[in-house]
Amino acid sequence: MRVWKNKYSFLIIFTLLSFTVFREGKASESWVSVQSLNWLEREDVRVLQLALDIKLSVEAIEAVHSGITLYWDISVKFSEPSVFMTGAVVFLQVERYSLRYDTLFNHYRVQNETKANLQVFSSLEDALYSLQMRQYQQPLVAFSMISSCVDAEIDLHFDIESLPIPLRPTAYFSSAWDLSTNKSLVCD
Amino acid sequence: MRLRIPFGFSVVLLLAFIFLSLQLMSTALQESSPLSGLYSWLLLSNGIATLILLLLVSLNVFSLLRRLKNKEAGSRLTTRIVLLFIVLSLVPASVVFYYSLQFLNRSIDGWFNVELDAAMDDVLELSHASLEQRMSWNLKQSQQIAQQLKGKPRSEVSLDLEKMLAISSASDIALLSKTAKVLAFSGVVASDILPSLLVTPLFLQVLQGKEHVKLDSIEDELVVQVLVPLQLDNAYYLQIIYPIPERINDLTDSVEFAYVRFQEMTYLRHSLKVSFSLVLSLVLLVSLLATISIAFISMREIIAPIRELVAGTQAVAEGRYEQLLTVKRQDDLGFLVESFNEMVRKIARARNKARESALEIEQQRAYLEALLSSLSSGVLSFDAQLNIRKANQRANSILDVQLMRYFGQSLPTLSQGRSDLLALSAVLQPLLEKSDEVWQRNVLIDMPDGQKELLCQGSPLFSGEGEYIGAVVVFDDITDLIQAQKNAAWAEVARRLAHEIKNPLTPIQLSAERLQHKLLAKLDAEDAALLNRSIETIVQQVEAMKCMVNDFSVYAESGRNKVAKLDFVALVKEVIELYDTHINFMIHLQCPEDLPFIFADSVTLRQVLHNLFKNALEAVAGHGELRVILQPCWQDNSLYVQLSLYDTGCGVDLQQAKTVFEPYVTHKAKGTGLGLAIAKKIIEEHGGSIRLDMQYTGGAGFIVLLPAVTEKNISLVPVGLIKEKKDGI
Repeated sequence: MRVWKNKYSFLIIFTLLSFTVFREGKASESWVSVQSLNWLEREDVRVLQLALDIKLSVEAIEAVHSGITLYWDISVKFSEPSVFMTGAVVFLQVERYSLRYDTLFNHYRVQNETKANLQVFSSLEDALYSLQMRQYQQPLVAFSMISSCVDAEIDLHFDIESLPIPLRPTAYFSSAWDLSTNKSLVCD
Repeated sequence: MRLRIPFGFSVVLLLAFIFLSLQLMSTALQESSPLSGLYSWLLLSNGIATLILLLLVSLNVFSLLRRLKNKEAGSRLTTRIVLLFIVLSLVPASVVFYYSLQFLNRSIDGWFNVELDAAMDDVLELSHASLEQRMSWNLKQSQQIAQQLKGKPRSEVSLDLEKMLAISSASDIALLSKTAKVLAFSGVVASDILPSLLVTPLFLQVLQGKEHVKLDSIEDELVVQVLVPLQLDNAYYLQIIYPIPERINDLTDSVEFAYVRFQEMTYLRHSLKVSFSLVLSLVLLVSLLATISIAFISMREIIAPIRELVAGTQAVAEGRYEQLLTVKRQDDLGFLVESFNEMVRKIARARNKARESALEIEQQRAYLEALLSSLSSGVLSFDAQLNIRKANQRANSILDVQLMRYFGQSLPTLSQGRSDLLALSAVLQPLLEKSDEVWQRNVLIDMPDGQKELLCQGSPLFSGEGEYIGAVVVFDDITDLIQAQKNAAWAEVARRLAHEIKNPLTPIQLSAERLQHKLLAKLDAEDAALLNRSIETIVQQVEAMKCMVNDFSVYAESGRNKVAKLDFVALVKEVIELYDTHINFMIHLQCPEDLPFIFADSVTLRQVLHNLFKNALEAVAGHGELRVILQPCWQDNSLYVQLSLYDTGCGVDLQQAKTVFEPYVTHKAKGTGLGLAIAKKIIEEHGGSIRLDMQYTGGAGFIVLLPAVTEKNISLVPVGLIKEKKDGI
């Protein structure tokens, strides 16, 4: 019936418009990206070398300097291809990091919330650099060795829900707060 | 089957959900609330619910626009009410929204004024200055301790550390080597064997001979770390940790927390405004949508009976009175519906009565029509202005005109196209105009097929109130009746003449012949010749009188026909053969091959043909032509055989035509005047007719019509037909 066609068209157009209008234009370069992802084998361990490029937008830097703590969840997963493409998970590590500016001491604190490790840096660059270069290793024994193939999946997720409530709606629709990335290393 | 969710139910459900989520959002805005983690989801669900509500309202608006375009009942009223609802709700809501937004923005801006900002900076600076002063004092104290230990050997210095700890406010003192190795340590906690703080990377500065003082924290407690060289070739260094007094520590924490919180709020100022504006806008939009939805729901309830009323009105307009509306409400609209139903019932009753009356009138009219049609008399009715109003079929046939064409026109108008009806108009019009009582007149009119005599009776018409409403004229064609009366009279004369004359003729003839026989021998030649001539004259005249008497007898006799199925073409051809012997008299016969037979008496019909052919021969005086045409002819739904005779003689003028078929009327030197009268009488006895064709101007023309034999009348007894005709006369 024509009326129903119109209703569906209206719904689709309205949904598309709401996504295009309310979403601000995303920056041409992403704030956070995976620069490199390499496998290394050292004696009896398999090592994943991860190089991240983490930059903060002006809004995010301003937020940090205003005392707002930023949280990231870094998830790393090794999996082996298996029957029916299910992928057996060999290694899974999820770590939560926070970045905070200490006004009194005028330094930046990077804390591993999972392990309660704290690092203090005098500059923001140093603090961000501490998050960028990472290594993950797993003994070769852990792998089934049926196949030499191991897939790696990296997910750096910026937790918008940890931001102050008034900032959250803006953060969802602003590319300045697009501080997440993910990447997979799939072996041939 | 499509599941239809009621609009009202959907709207109520959505509004309840939206208001609930708004309330939860309001709670979640507090950082400490357990719902704060659900804020984004609440906002999203609220937005989706609002969108669905907007969609529902939009669908209703589109539907309303469509109904407006189609000019459906109630659409305009709904539009007005919805617009009114929007205006009534939007104006105060917008005012509240505007001032709320203004108040909110100013309030938020008021939290972060310049003075407060500067004060917070000052407080932080004061805190820093206090700590720096503390650090400076601790450094000085440390320098003094270093001065006191100056020049003492390392072992002695190690021993003096505890003494120095006692006289200072430090929590621990450590003697470090050049490589930052702890050589000696003394702390207020006896169990401690190492300094509470490790040597910082800034130890390099100390190696270069500079003092170092730094603020640090141990287990969330502020401490001052001081590194000073001993004057022992700068080979040994002292690290002294001074705890910050608890009060200063708390105040510093409080100041830092307040400053950080203030900075955070300052940063979130714009976001706060956006959030509050978003929520307020959402509330405004939801209020507006709720108002429109309520308007639609309300109007559905109101419009439904109005639509039913419109549908009912249209049904009544289309003549459907059986469709009564259901009274669902007890309010004004319900009363209106009830009144409408009562009105429809009354109209239906009135319509039924009117229909019955119309039916009765129609029956009366049909009865009158049938009555008028069955009348053998012509009937003409006139209105008050004497225009022709009605005429029956018989009037059409008598006057040979379609009177229906002249309805609404006056009688003289009728005679304008028909000069032969002028006499009728001339007689009737004055009588109609001035007569207010019944009148009767005989009117002679010259019709194309001969003269007609009409017996007209007129009567004025009055309504029940005595008002003059017109007149009616009833007329009969009495031509045949008059003619029959004449024929009967003439037949009686002929019969008596035949009876009175025929009897003495034979004795006269015999007596004359006897006289001739007795006296001829006794007379001289001259007298004998005279006697012979006289006797011959007497005998001739007697013979002539016998012929005349025979003609009289024939004319007087009636019903002597012996009718049978007759091939009229063959009869005509036989008669033509008799007259074809005349050299200068040419007869042309024209007839189709399949001409139907007729019911006729061949003897009497032969006599008719003889009379007509003889007349034609006499009319052309032996030199001329006669054209004979035979053809089938339909007249008054009956099949006839038409015989047309056209001679090239002197013809018949209009005056002669009036009496040409009357007995004893002749325009010839010799003749009894009975030929055409007998022919007419015989033909009419056969159910036929004979007339002059006045349209023919090349001589005399006669048209004879005789009933043909058809499948319908073949079973009829022809004699009966003749007898009936005779009885009619």
